[in-house]
Amino acid sequence: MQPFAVLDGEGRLLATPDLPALLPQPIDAAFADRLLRGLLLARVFDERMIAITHEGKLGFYLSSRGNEALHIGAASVLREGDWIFPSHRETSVALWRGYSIRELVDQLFGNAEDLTKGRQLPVHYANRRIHFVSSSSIVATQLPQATGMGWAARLAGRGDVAAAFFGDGAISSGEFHVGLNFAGVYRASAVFVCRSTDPAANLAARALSYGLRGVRVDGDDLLAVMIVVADAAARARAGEGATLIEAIVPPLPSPETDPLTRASAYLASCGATLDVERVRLEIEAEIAAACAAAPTIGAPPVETLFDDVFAELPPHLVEQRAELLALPRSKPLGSR
Amino acid sequence: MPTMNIIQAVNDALRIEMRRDARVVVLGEDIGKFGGVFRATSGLHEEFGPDRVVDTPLSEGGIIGAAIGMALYGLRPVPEIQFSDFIYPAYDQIVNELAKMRYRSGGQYTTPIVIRTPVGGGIRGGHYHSQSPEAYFLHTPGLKVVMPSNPIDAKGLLLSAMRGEDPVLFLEPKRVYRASRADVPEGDYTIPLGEAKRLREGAQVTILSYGAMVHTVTEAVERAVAEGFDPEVLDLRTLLPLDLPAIVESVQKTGRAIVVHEAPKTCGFGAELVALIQEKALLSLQAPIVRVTGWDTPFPYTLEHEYLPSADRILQAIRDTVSF
Repeated sequence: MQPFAVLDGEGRLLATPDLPALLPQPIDAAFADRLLRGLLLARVFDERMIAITHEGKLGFYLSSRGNEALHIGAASVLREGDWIFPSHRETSVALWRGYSIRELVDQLFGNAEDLTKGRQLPVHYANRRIHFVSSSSIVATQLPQATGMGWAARLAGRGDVAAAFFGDGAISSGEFHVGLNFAGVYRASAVFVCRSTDPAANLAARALSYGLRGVRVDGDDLLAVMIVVADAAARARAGEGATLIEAIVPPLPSPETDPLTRASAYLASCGATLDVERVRLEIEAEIAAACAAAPTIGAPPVETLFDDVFAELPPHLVEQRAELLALPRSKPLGSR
Repeated sequence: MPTMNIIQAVNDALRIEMRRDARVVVLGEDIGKFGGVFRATSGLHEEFGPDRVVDTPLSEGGIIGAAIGMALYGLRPVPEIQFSDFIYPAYDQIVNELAKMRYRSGGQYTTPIVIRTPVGGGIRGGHYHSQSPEAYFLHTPGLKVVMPSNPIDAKGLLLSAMRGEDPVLFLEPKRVYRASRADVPEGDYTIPLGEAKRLREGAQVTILSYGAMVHTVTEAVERAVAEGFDPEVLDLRTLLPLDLPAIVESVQKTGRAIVVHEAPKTCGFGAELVALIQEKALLSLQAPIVRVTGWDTPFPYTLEHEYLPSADRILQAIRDTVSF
């Protein structure tokens, strides 16, 4: 099964797909601008975060360079009511859905304004407002969770879909088997999006063993991703069950295979008029402002260390908190 | 008031809550059409249907992982793990995901799930149908752990657990599932988590226990009283959050303490209780605190009766403690 593609290497249509039938909304000039802006934001944010990590200003960051077409394409055809079960590379999905630059940077710096209260490593985002589910550092545990949400969503009948994202490493995990097996048994309203770097692996074929649809797509082809994810989501919404989408991407990003080049060309043909250079500067300025502000905000107050373990503090945590607060404050490890 | 055993009390609690709250769903292996291997979910499938009483594939990780997803979306799942010995494939989901979801999301996401599972030996079940794994979960911040000893507590605590907003491990003492019977109040009532119950008032030695061991303690105490001893007995009921004030008050009065649990000795919950008691009441103690526990071996099949703390062992501990 060849990966589905509709754009050639230069972003020209290979055929003339019936786009109104295949996409939830047409790619008019306004939507094309929005897509282009989303791709640019994804790319620039990633570049800047990698840069400041190399500068030693950020302790840890996981890049998703080269996955912009995949993540923006997928995010752009999902609905507000859908839920995202991410791994750690879906920063651009978060950005598309409205996780602000400032909110993301606050999480990366783990400061007092971070929505997740500085509890986890960078890129472990969570934002209930946009249904971006908290992830752990454990690979693939989100898959059975996405299945459970998708199953509950089918029963609720509101048409919400679980969209789970992961890399091909997760395929070897027991949780992949468990999650997809349950998704097949319960006809979960879910879309499983796997970034795959090995075209020979033919991961989509494994879907059949779970009673799911398996689809292969060129993960660098923005339009193909939009079509495939929209189709999978529509089937899930209709109660037809889950799809495993194997999105083929190159193992390493390179200028020759840059998905932004291809997508930009196509979006220009759709009428995009975005001033890329101006917008890039705007984005860079917004990121710079967030990165300048974030370290000055300071750590979450030490008394919050004990919040959110449970709904209410049980007696032993009340006691432990009092014990910690009575001590002089410690310096972060490694500081002088 | 109807007389019920623990199974019937659990079934009653589930039925009451499923009628009261349409978000409650029950899921697990053989719990639907079959009604559960211990019949705890008997009749629920007929009343509430296959979308709310779900037979799952044989996959504890899937049961708990899916339950987490359901809970995130707004359901209130009550999954069953058929024997607690089988819980370990779900351990990653329980420890790394369920217990930490609220904390790691800054309070944005919560997973109010009650995991029901039978624990304990005495049913000729061997290594893999007899374990008492509470310590593995007590050591994980973010989980509440409950182990009732009788039907009245089982029903009231389970209803409380299902209405709380925190994940709960609800550990059911299978050896006394049917043997423990009581007049259980009809209809809806709750017993709050975090409260121990004093079963016998005494002045000479405090005995702390939970689960099926409470019944063995009761037997030992009857004999102890006949020998002239005056023990005070606390059924802990909730292991976390623990009712430490009740324990401390008792030990301050009696000056002696014995902890009885089936689980293995090393790093069992008894070790935590001993640490807490000596932190809070050291100067009240007249003797070392004694732990009467399962041995540090896998749970044996043939020699099960030598493994489980017996009334003889508990009685001997009372004699030794009092005469120290």
